[in-house]
Amino acid sequence: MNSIKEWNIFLVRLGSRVASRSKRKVWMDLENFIILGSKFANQDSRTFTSFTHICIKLAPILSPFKLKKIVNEIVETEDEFKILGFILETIQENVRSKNQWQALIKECKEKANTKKQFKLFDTSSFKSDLKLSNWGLVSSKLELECPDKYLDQSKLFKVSIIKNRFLGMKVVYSDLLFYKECHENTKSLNQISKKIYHDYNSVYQANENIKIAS
Amino acid sequence: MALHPNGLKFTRMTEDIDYINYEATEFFKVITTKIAKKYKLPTDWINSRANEISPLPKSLNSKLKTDNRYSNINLNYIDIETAIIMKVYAYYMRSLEKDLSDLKLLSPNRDQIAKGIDYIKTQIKYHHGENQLTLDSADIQKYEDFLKDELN
Repeated sequence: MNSIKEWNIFLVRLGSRVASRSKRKVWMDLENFIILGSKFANQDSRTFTSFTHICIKLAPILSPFKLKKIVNEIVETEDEFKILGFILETIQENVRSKNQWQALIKECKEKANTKKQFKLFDTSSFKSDLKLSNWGLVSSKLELECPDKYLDQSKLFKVSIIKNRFLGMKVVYSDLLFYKECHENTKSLNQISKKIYHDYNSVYQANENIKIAS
Repeated sequence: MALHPNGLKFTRMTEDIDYINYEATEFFKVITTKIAKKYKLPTDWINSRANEISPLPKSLNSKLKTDNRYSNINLNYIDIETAIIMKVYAYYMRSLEKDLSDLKLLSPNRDQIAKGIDYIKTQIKYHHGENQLTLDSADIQKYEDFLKDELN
């Protein structure tokens, strides 16, 4: 599993303005990054806000099916499920086909004890945000009205996986290309398929087609 | 931004610079837009939003600090106590988590919190009158108790 340091570097790679810049280039699977947000994003309110802005922007290109496949490998505690539930609900609000997100949100509801309160950051709150409270999270409002303050959108859209997915490329193709772009010494397809959370046959087929197309 | 030159140790970057007592000229706008493009900053990276807060804390001008390290910039910035007053006010008005986290970082004592509370009262009285202040006083007291519990 990626560390919080790597997660922060990838957050900056996706255009976050709140974390310190790094010259190091970190590769992460996109859906893995979203799920890991349940563990790492609440390090402080600005990081969490920036991460939420990224999720909102990426909402139309994320794969709920892939997220569902990997959620139980990564998310462990009730509190992490609360955070993920809030994030997924926010994503759902920003997509047209809302139904495909329902099962995942339901799973988070079942695994998060929303009646038990969890301080999202290390402070209590004078007036808690209602949407966060619905997930049992104690925090004041996040600043979600000013995306530009927290996110450099032009930087986000320059990341190849983001660009490719917005241009309509299938998830497995964009994941494979992004992985190869970031790794010179390519591993076996079997190893890659595990890294990008797709089955071997899909990755093989994508790889063959990419070879022909290029 | 004022938290940085005051020497508080934290790693996050500032989001914007608020300026006061200055009327932006066209030249200023052209230059700041160019800087935003060059360094990929938000378009309003330097803005006068804080100017909309009036009246400003009485002691603000007399407590301004100066940084003369730069050849072409005359930098004046507010001291920690004024920053606390502004943050106590901001968190009460906006209820944004980031204001509370900044307050935690500033770690105010009880007197400094009380000064912030006085500033909230001044603002409400100035903009909405004595009656409104009376109506809000219980909530403001609750807020003061909350801050004392949370930050001390």
